[in-house]
Amino acid sequence: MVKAARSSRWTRLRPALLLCVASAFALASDRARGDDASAARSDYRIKAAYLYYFTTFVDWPSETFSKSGDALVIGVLGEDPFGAILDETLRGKTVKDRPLLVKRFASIKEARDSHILFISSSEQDRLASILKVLEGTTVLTVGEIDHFASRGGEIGFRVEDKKVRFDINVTAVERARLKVSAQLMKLGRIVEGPGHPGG
Amino acid sequence: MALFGNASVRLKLILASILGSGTALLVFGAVITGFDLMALRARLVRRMTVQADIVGANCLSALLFNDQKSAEDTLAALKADPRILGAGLYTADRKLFATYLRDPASGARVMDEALGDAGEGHLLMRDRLRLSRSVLFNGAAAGTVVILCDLREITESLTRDVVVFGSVLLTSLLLALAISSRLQRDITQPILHLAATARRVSQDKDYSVRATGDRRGEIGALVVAFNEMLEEIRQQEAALRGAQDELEQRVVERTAQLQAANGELEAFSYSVSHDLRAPIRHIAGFAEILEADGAGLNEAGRRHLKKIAQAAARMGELIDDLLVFSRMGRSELQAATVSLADLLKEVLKEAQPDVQRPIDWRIDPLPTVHGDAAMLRLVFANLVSNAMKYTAKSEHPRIEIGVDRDEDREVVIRVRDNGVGFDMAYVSKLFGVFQRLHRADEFEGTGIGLANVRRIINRHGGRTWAEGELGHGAAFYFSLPKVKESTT
Repeated sequence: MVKAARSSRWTRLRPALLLCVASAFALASDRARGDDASAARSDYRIKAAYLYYFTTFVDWPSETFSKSGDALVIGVLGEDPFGAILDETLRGKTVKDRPLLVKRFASIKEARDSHILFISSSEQDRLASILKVLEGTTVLTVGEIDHFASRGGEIGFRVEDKKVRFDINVTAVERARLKVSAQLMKLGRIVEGPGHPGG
Repeated sequence: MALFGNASVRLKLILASILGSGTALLVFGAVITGFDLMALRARLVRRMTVQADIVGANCLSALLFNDQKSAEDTLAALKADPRILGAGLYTADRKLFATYLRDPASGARVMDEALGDAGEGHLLMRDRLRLSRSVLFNGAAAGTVVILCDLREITESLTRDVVVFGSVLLTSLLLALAISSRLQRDITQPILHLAATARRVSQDKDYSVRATGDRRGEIGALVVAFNEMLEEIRQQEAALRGAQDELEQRVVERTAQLQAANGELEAFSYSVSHDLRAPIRHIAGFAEILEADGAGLNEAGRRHLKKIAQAAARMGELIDDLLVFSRMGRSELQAATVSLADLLKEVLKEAQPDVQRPIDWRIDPLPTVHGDAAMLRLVFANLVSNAMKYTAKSEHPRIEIGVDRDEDREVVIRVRDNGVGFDMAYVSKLFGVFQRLHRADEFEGTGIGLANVRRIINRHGGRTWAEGELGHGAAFYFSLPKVKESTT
C-alpha cells in the first residue's frame, strides 16, 4: 500500500522535480559568475518556467479557447531569446487538461489569438503600437523590456538580487478581462501605468 | 477469599463491593481516557492536516516563483494557532525553503535543513506532533509543508480527564463504601448473630437457645436449619440423659436386688453350714464310740466305720471352711494402716516350723497399705501355704514375694513359686469356692483358700489374678488401691 502510494507520488513528482533540478542547475550556474552566457541561459530557463506557471494562476475567458482549439497558446513575438528552452520546458505539460502550444510570431497581427504573448526585447521600439493592436484582446502580455509593465504591458520581468522577479500592471490586466490569482498578485510588484498605450 | 485472610464477613463484603466497583470504574475510566486520547490526537492531526494543506496551497506560488519572503509571510499566518510551534516549507528536492517559528527567541533549531523522508504523514512524539503534507502543483508535489504542533493541549486535556476521573473514582468509592457498609448490615447482621449463637451453644452446651432473625432468603434458611438442628440436638440430649438416668436407676435397683439376694444366700449358706455342723458331730462322735467298742463288727464293718469317721471329719472341715468364707463376706472391715512386710513376717513365722525342706525365700520390701490387718494376713497365709504346698514335690523349691508394680492408683503384690503350676485353660476356675485343679490325695486342702483371697481383696477394692504353666510354677497377683475408700 505504502509502496504503491509512494511510487504513484513519485510519478506525479517527476515533472516538478525535473523543473526543480533545472532551476537548481540554473541557480548553481548562476553562481558561476564568469559565464554571462550561461547565466543568461539559466535566466531564460526560469523565465520559461514562469511563463508556464503563469498559465495556472491566470484565468482566461472560456471563449478564448474555442479559437485555439482548446490549446493554450504561448506566443513569442519578435526575436526568440529562449531558443529550444521554452519548448523543452513546456513539452508534455498541460494546464487544466489543456495542451500548451508554443507559437512564434513575426507580426503582431498573427499574435492576437495567443493567451500569453512574450514580447521580445527586439520589439522594444514598437511596443506602443503592439500594445495598441492587442487592445481589446485577452492576451496576457509578458516582456523583459525595461519598465514593461509601467509602459502598458501586463507582466514585466526584472532581475533583482540575481533573482527573476516581475511587475504586474493591474490596470492592464483588468482591461484584458483576465483574472490573476491573488497568489500571483502577492508575488509581483504592483505598478501603476497606462492601461493602454498612448495614454 | 484467601485475598482477605480471616477478616470478618463484614469486612469481606465491604472490600468485595469496593474492589468490584473500583475495578469497574477504573476500567471504564481507562477506556474512556484512552478513547478520548485517541480522539483528541486524531482530531488534532486532522486539523493540522487542514492547516498544512491551506498553508501549502497558499505557498504554492511562492514556491514556484522562488519567493522566500512571500512564503515566510504565508507561513506566518500559522501564528493564529497557538498550538503550532513552527512550520517549514521544503522544496521538491527537500531543501528548507522557508520557516516559521512561533518563538524565534528560543533559538532552537526547530526545522531541519533537509527534509528527512519523502512521504506525507504524521509522527506523534511525547510532547509534539510533526506533520508533513505535500504541496501539489498540477497533481505533482512541488514541495512539502511540515508543521510542528505542541501536544500540551492534549496532555492538559488528558491531565484534566485523569483528575476528574480520579475525583469521580474517589467520590464513587466513598459512596460505594457508605452504601455497602449500610447494605452489608442486612447480610452480615444475621450471619454474625448466627455465629454468636453457635459460639454460645458450643461454649455453654446450652441447646435451648435459638437464633433469631429474618426467616426469608438463604440466611433465613440457615437460621431455620440451625434452629432445627439445635432442637434435634436438644431432644436427643434429653433422650440420652433420660436413658442414662433410667439406666443408673436400673443399676441401683439391680444392685440393691443383687445385694439382697446375695445377703439372703449368704445367710442361708451360713445357717445351713451352722446347722449341718451338729449332725456331722453326732455322726463323727458315734462313729468314734462304735470304733472304740468294736462290738460285733467284723473286719469289713470296722473298715466301713473308719471310712464314715473320715468322711464325717472331712465334711466338718468343709463346713468350717464354708463358715469362715461366709464370715469373710459378712464381717465388717476393720480398716487401718497395715504394714504388709510385718504381716508377711508373722505369717512366715507360723508357716516355717511346718517345713523340713529348705525353701529358697526371696522376699522384697513390701509397702504399707490401708486395709483390714486380719483379713490381709489371711490372704498372705493362703498364698504362702499354697506356694509351699505346691512346691512340696520340687527339688529346689523357691518362693518369691514382692511388689509387681507400684502405681499412682494401686500397688500390685506378687507371690510366685516354682511348683507344679497349673494349666492356664483353667485359670478362671482357680478362685472359685471348692475348686481344685489337683486331686485331694495329691495335695491336701478343701479348695476354699483362693476363694477367700479373692473375696478379701474384692472387699478392699482390689483385683486378683494368676499366671501359671504346668510344671513351671505359678504366680498369684493381688492389687490394693492406694486411695482410702470406704468399702462395703
